[in-house]
Amino acid sequence: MNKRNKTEEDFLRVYDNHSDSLFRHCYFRVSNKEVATDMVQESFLRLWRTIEKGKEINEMTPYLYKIANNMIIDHYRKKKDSSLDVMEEIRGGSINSLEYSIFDNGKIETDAEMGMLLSALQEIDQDYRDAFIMRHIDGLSPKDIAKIMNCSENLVSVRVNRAFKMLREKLNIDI
Amino acid sequence: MKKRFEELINNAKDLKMDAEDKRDIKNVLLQEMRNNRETQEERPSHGFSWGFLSIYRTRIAFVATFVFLLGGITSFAAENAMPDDFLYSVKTNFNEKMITVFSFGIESKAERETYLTERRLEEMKVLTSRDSIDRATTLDIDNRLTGHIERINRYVVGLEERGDHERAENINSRLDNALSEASQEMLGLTEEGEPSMDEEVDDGIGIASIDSDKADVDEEIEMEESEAQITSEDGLETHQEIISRLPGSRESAVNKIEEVREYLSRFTSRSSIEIIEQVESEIISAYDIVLEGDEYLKEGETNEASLSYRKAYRKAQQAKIHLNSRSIVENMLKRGDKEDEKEISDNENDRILEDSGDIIDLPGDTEEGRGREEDVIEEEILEDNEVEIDDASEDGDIEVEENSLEN
Repeated sequence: MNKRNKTEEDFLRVYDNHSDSLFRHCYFRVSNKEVATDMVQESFLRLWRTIEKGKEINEMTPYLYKIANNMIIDHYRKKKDSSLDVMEEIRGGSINSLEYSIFDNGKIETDAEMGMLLSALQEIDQDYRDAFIMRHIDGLSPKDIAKIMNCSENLVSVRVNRAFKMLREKLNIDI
Repeated sequence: MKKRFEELINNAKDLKMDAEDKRDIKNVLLQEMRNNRETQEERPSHGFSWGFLSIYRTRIAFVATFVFLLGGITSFAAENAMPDDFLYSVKTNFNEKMITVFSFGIESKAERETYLTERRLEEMKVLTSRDSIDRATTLDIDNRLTGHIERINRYVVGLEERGDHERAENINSRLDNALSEASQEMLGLTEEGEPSMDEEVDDGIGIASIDSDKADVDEEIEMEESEAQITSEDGLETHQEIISRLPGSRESAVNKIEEVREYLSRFTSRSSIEIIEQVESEIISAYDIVLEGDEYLKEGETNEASLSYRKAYRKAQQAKIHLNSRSIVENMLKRGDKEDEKEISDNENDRILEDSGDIIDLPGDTEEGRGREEDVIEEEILEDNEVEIDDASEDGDIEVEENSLEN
């Protein structure tokens, strides 16, 4: 098997293993199935084009999530024409509560309990929320999350645990 | 409680992409890889050589050309296939899937689905113009049409989410027009001008039913405009833009609702009560969304108000799309049923007549019958002759007996 075939095979394996988790990653941020699906396609296309250009990517998964995160930020920037709240948040340099305006539009296609989890997630800090979603919903390893968030694995664990406690309080669940 | 939380997380984890979407994306990626590979293979290579194949070059070229031509001809021939044709599956499963592979992004996917809807409608027109409509074919094409419309709705919502209102509006209008035209042709509706969203804003037609709210809303908008001018010093241009668009957006939504309500009245004798009621409820919910927007406006949430008016417009448009598509299919099914009923009743009549003996096979109707008729006549003649012979012999016997007595 030559190098190119191996790269293609690795890439397709990443697609098979991570397309659903990347979809959840996007969906829990944009709250729209079609937009999330579009982001998954675009993220993988961009990843492949980067590989094609000859850029050495040691680990595709964290790189893929970084692309998706950039697309999520772009998505909110594009929305600024129709959503003043979102625009103000971007100007303020924070995307912490960007999801609020999206989730508040009532377009979540999930049941009531999922809606409850989403609202609780919106109320906690963005770093904690991201770490929690990537660990417990996307199913990524602390190592990969650390690479995506540019921090240490220990810090990821701390954030995940804190997010867990916060959610427990918000959802009023005694564990 | 811990279990409940775990269940909640597990439910979130179970969220997956549609299998069809997943397969489509993989096809797109494979296509991208193939394109890149072909570009690379065009460059001179110092590794592997295909030279050993040179002796079979002519044969390979011939077979490849043949396969390519055969595939091309089949695909081309399938382009005009109808749902009850043998090649229809090639048209939908190959030709149309190829269009899918080359559709990138929500807008091109939405355009693809609109194009496919137009194709389905054309097929429906042809089927309706025929003498007979097969029920299974109608149901199959209805299934496909519904699928296309549902996907378009999802893509339109996606475009709206992205703030791409113009494209969303264009796609919905194109679908709306295609279905309205098909309705006119297939249901025999009279053509009436339907103003576009922009025209509606300009002509400023007032709607009696919602007019009472309009004055209050205008007042709210004026207040918001003055506030926006104050805040505009902070550079919030978009806020002003949204507010300046509000009266037009509201009016468009209201006009659209009225237009659909009027359009619905033309269907009362053409569509079933179920469809009419369903569309009526969709119109009511569109109107509720306008009122919801008014509430937002009163609370000063201009952005939400703007989104609500757009949503109401879209809801009304979708009600019309729904009305047209359901009525077309219902009409086709009714026609199919009538033909089936006629056929059944003809067969039933034949059976009843046969049972009552009114229908008698007249032997002279066919060649065979004519032959049988001749045989019957011959037999009758023979029987008559035998009777005469018997009579004659009987007479003879009597004469003989009489003679012998005399003797």
